[in-house]
Amino acid sequence: MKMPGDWLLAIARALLDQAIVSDVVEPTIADLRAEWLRADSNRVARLRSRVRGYLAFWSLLAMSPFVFRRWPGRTPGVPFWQIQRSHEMRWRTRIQLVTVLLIVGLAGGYVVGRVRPPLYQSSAVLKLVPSNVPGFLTGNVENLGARLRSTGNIVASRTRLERLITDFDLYPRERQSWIMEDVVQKMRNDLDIDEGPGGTFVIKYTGTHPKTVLKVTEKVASIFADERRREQERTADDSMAFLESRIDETGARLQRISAEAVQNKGALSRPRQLELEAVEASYKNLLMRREDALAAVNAESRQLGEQFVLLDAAQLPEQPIGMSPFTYTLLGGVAGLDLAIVIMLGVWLWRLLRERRADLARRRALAQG
Amino acid sequence: MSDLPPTLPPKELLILELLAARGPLHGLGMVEESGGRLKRGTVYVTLGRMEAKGFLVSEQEPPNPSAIGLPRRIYRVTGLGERMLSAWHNFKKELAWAGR
Repeated sequence: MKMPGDWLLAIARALLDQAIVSDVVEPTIADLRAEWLRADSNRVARLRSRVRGYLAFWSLLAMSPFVFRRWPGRTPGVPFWQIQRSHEMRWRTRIQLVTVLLIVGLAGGYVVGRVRPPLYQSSAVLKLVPSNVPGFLTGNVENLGARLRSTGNIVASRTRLERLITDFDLYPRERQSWIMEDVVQKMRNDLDIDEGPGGTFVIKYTGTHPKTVLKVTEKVASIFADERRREQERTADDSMAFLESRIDETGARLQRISAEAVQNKGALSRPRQLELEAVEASYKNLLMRREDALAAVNAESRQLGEQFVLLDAAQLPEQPIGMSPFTYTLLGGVAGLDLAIVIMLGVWLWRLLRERRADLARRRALAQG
Repeated sequence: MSDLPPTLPPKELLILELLAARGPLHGLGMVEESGGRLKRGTVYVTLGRMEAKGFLVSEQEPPNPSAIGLPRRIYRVTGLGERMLSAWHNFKKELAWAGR
C-alpha cells in the first residue's frame, strides 16, 4: 500500500540534518501515517489526517532555521538547557530590538506628521479658445503642447516667479537662508502646469497657507492668459516689422532695375530681365503677406485670435493634501520594523558565517591531525 | 552558566504530567490526550529537547506487520523527569503556602 508522506520525508532528508530527521521528522510522518491508517476507508478522516500531517510538517520546516540550529545531536557535549536558555535570551533580545525600533519608528513618524506643516493645493483650469478669424490671418499653427511650453517657460521664468515670491511673501523661512535661485526652483516644483482633456490645461499650486495658495494660483492663471496674448501680439508685430523691412528692400531693388530699364529705353539684357521678373514676383508676394500680417495684428488687437480663457477659477482649498499624521505614524512603525528585520538578518548572517568559518577550521584541524 | 539547573517550560511540564499519569505514550497519543494543548508540528521538538535534558527516554516501537514504513517512538519518564515533576509540584505547593 502506498503511504502518504514519502516526498515530505525526501524533502526533509535533503534539507535537514539526519539527527533532526530521525528525532523529529520521521516520528511526525509516522504519526501522520498511523492516523491515516486508523481512518481506514473514511475519506474525510483520511483527508483530515493528511492535512494535519502536512501542516505539521510544513510548520516544522518553516521553523527549522530557528529551532534546529543547535539540535542536541549536532552540538555534542553542551548541556541542552544551556542551548535552550541561550535561544531564549536571543529571542528576548530580538523581541526587545523589534519593540524598541517599532516604538522609535512610530514616535518618529508621529512627530514628523505633527511637525510637518499641512500642504494645500489649489487649481485653475484654462481652455484654449480657437481664433474667431481664419488661421492664415492670425498665423496660429502650433499645437496646445507647444503653446503651453512656450508660455509656461515665460511664466516659470526666474523674473516672473521672483516677483510672485516677493509680492505674496512666499517661502519666508527659505528666503532667509537659501539663495534666491533655490527658492525660485522650489516654487517651480510647487507649481504644476499640465495639459488636460479637450484643449484644457490645469495650473496647480501647492503651499502651506490656503489663502496664499488660492491667490498665487489665480495670479498665475491670469499671468498665463495675459502672457499668451502679449506673446501673440509680439509675434504679430515682429512679423510685421520683418515684412516691412523686406518690402522696403525689395522695393528699392525693383526701383533700381526699373530705372535701369528706363535709361536703356526699355531694353534689358536677358539676365537682368529675368531678375526684374523675379524681384517683381517676390515684391508682390511680400505685399500679400503684409496684408495677412496686418489682418493678424488687427485680430490680436481686437482679441479675435486664439486665447486662453479661465474655465474653472481657483478655489480656496479646504482640506490639506498628502499624508495624514496617522499615515506618517504608521509609516514610521513600518520603517522601524524593517530596520529591526535588517539588523536581525545582518546579525544572523554574521553568526552563520562565523560558525561556518569555525566549522571549517575544526575540519581542517581534524584532517591534519 | 553550567551551574544553572534545567528549566521546565509549560509544555514540558504538561508532557511530564501526561506520561506520569498515562504511562509510556508516543507523540500522537500525547497530542490527542492533551486536548489541543500540544500540536503535531511541535510535539517532537519538545520531546527531543526533553530527551536531551534527560527527562525522557524513547525507544522504537517493535516492527509492526501492518508496516507504516517508519518506526514510531514510545516515550517514558526517566528518574530525573520524575524528580523534576515532583520538585515542581513541591515548589508550587511551597508558593501556594507562602501566598496564604
